[in-house]
Amino acid sequence: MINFLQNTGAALKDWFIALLNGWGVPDEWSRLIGDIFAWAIGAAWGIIVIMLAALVFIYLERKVAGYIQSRLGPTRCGPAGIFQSFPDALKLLLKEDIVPEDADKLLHLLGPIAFFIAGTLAFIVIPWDQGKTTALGVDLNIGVLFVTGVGSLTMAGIIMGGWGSNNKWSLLGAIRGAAQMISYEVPMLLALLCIVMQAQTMSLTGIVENQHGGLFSWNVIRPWLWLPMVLYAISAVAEVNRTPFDLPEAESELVSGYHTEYSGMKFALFFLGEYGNTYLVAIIFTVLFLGGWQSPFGNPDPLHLPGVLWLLGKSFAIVLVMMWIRWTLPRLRVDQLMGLAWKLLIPAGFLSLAVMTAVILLGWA
Amino acid sequence: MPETTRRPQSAWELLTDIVGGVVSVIKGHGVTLKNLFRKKVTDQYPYRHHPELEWHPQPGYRGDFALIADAERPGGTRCIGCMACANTCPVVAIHICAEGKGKERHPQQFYIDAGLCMYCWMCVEACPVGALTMTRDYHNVEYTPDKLIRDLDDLKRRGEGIAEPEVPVPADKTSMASARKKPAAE
Repeated sequence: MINFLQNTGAALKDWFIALLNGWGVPDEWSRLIGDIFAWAIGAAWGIIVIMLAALVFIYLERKVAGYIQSRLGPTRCGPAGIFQSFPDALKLLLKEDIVPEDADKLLHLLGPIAFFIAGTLAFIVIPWDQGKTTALGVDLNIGVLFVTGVGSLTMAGIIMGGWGSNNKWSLLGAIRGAAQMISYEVPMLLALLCIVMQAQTMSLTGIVENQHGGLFSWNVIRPWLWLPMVLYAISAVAEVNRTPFDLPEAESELVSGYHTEYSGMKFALFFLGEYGNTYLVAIIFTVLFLGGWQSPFGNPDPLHLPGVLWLLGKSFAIVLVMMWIRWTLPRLRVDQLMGLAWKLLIPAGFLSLAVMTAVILLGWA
Repeated sequence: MPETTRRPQSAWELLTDIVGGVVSVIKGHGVTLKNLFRKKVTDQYPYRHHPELEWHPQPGYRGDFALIADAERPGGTRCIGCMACANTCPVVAIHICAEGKGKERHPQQFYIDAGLCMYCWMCVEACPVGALTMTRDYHNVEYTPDKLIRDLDDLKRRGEGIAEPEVPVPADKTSMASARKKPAAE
């Protein structure tokens, strides 16, 4: 049972191959089908994680928003409103799917799908636990590159949705989204480059293993990585379009930005993709700076908790901080947004790169 | 385009700008964090109503209705079934069925539709025996309109412990009651 929980993909694959063999399927065939089954599980895992995370985060978001504004938030559905997300999700599923008359039907349909898939793909390389990445995905040796590359694909979905809606607000939101993502990719990559130089690897598993040995060997403790950490935090919030960088969907200016013309399940896909991206950057932040699946009390974990629990706990804390930021800071102006990225974050990124190089040359890393 | 005659920012000014911005952002987060753990102001009326948030209306408040009990007749009310209130009601919210003759006449059924009522106080003024009154009870919210119709039992229950009808305060010239009680003698 423990093995099943900790290594779901492999356990299910073994069970499936045994089942096929029992039905009299030739061994090579059952192995091939088992592989496909395992990939399907890996893909389903990403979607399930996003769905569950979104359900939890929507509730948390509303609760945190309420508490910060001295309200109570949802209270009616279940104790303290914890089941509020389920009727909300049901409502989204049941809503009519409206396509504007003059919209580009194909792009309008593909936009949310591309957005959601791009958000889901990056979950493949997340190292959930020690040695458990391959069961639910793959441990790519270019993990960092993959995450950022796939993450910026969400922009394609936004542009498709914004253009396909044939609505000026949608298009403006999409254009803003594209400009913002391109601008904030740069400081984010510069920050990631520092981490890659520190760990001497691009694999996310390798980066986590580089922080082996408790709280004091995490990247968050290393002073020369503090600037990259701040850079990554700011550009990650900008990358997932959350307040104070929610210009692509600024309600007060653009109605609702690129998803103005969406309703029902297509809107739900945008919504899920957004929360999935939020969770993704929280997990990546945990992996890069907070030691990923590792316990803060050193290795092996004296509490004997599964690593995935540590990862989930840390990333949930990061998401809560993101909500805290969202309900504190007002939205930036467009020129302020661009100015922050190009005039402040990118020079700071180059500075941190120089510092990192010096640290490596001096042999401190 | 507006005229831009701004002096270019020096490096020192830029640095103080950045530091000031960071400090104010951190302060802002402190404010929201304090709010996060503060006592919430929401009163979950009517489910978890805070007693300290209960509002106490002034005398003369026009709340839900009551029939005042008759001291000489236990279980009965002062009402003599004269239909004065029902006749005067502008929105015909009061319906009474009364039996008996003279002083023995008492209502068998007494309905007031609180959903129809516009709280004009005319029924209370019309009552010759001071039986009908409005209480200061404002918790008169129901889920369905039919529950807003008060019957004789409701009115009796609310009338328990009330000795005299509510008097509109201040009893100034705008009140019809004071106008009627003080005729043109002055």
